[in-house]
Amino acid sequence: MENQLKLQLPETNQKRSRIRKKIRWTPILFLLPSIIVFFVFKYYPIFDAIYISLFNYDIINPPGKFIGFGNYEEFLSSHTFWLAMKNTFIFFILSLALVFWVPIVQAVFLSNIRRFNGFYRVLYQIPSVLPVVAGVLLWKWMYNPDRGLFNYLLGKIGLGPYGWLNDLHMTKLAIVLPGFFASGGVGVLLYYAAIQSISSEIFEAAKIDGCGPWRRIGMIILPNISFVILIQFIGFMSGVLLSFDNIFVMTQGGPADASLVVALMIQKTAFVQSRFGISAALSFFMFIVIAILTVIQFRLQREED
Amino acid sequence: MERNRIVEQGQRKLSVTSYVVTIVFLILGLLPLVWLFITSIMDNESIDSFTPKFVPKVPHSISITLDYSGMNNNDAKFYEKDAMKATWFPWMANMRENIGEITVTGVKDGHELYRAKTTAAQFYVGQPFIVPTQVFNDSIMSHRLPQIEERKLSKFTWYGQGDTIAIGGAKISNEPLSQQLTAFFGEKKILDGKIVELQQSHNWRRLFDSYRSLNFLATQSAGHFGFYQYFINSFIVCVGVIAWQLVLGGMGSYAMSQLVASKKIRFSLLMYFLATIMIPGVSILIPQYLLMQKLNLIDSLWAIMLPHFAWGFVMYLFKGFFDQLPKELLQAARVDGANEFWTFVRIVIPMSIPVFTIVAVLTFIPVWNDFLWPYVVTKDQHYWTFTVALNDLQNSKNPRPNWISASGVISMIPLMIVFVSTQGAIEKGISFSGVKG
Repeated sequence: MENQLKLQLPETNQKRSRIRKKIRWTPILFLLPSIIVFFVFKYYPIFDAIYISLFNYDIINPPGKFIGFGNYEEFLSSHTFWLAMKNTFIFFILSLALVFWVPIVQAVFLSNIRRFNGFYRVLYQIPSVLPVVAGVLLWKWMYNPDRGLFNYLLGKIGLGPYGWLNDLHMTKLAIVLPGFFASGGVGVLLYYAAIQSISSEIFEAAKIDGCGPWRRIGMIILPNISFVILIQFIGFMSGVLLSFDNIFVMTQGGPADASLVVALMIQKTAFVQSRFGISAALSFFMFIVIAILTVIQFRLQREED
Repeated sequence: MERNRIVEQGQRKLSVTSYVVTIVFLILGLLPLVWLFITSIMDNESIDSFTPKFVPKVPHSISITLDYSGMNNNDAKFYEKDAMKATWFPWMANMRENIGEITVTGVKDGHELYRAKTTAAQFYVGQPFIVPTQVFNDSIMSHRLPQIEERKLSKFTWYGQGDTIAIGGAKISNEPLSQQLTAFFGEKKILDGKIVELQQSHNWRRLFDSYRSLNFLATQSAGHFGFYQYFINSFIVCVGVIAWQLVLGGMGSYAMSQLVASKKIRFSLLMYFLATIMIPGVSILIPQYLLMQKLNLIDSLWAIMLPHFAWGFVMYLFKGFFDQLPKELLQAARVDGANEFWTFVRIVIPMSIPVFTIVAVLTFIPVWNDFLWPYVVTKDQHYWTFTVALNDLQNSKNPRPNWISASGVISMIPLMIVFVSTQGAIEKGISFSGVKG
């Protein structure tokens, strides 16, 4: 809108045309590298994934035999895929119960602390600076059934020993549990910022109306940040759906596929079984789900602003 | 003063609860990190034991003096082999004893002949192939000596005719470990020199030998820096991606925000970049891999870097900031005859330091932690990032838990520095974007 500025320049005709010429070229030059990398590394691959998914892909002699939606039919009717979906759902429920709410609680209570508040915020960030792979290896060692810290400590209070990662029923819990400990991170800052941005007039009004400090959490803080929570929730859903690193390093999907998820299936079918076609079909499925979630998240984001 | 303030009913209770909850969560969050650090300086036996230990013990330092008086051999190699036998064999036999270093001093006719020092960092890296079994004899060491030299697993200094050393009687320490070692030497009779001294002490610096181990680890596949090469690789990748994002990403967003006149084009450009947020990395894993194969970039740091250049989120962040730049200033620069590039460098960049910081931080974190993509795209160990190497370390035949912990601690340091030094920028960035949780 303000870019008619070139017309407002009080310059001679010659100079104006010179500038105009430049203005036509520089943006293209500035934008070209970005446009190219986005095309090459995002758009081309996603279309390629759709293309590959229609073939019984042959790595040596690409693309192999065209089979239409055969790959999609195959994975949709496979037992493993539905097991992975079920696992994802259980991971989702477990994360919801153990991880999602934690930063909200942390931020609500943090907002009641005046002294050293900034210091606590920094401390909350520290657990999240441990790279996922390193964190998982640490936990894996603590889960060791014979020598691990957990069975030792639980043994002290008369529980266990548990198989943790070797136990079909405990693997999922064991994978999600580290998230509870390291759930601080950026989420706390986000919720904290949201709470800080609630106008103090609302608080004052509530105070005068006799709404005590505890009730204010339920009546004012939570309703006012509910939108942020909703947006985070959608992001959290795609996060759970896409989780790969922690599961792969912890269990590789085992034992007996008890922690297999779709992201792991994509990696395994492609790079272990060399079945690129079916892997691409799964990739496309994943893309559709994530795209829908992202669009919802973005719409909500817009609405909030 | 505080006392006189009117405190609302329930406020005090809430304050106390707030502190308690905050501190409990902080402790829960920090405990695993404390454990990580403790295990990184703990000896392997303690970590491996069935009852976990919580306090690391300072390892034993052993110093042995061998006397060669009356021997005619002047070949340094001969003495080096003897020193290695005096180091590696007893250490292997007493591996459970938390030895931190063994120093062997060779003496001949009252002069110092050589000094050989081996630390736990070197021993535990070398043990699987230097002394894999409990068989100790001269010919084994003859075979292994070149390997020790090549991988610098012991520091051997040859003096020939060094400083005079007075040996006063047989000084053998009375401590149990020293007695055990003396008994070992007496039984095996593998040394050419005569043990005249065997002392035992503690050196706290040996606690941190797991960190030094990483330097000796994987030297054959990763090069001179050993395991640290993987951290260097990760760092190079991060720097490359950040450089691209700040320079070309920034320029692109600036052009989109300020230089494109047509509203329609501007919107479609924004959509072009932004829509890619919907594409999760795992969905384009295979095509990207095949693409890298076509470009012949598999097994290079470029392959790890390139896909990170296209981040819709960064373009969005930049554009949001550039949209708010004061138009008058940019216009003034143009009137003064500065071309667009100079306007960008001289005027836009200095004004946009906050957004550049945010982008740098938000780029650094996920790229540093990235695992799946580097794992898929690099087979040659030389190009691994530390996440891939760590995953491999745990699957290797003989993973020492304290190596894994030590590399975990090191992997935290860059992020810790980034987080603590840019806390303000991150907080600003969050309230500014909010998209990424």
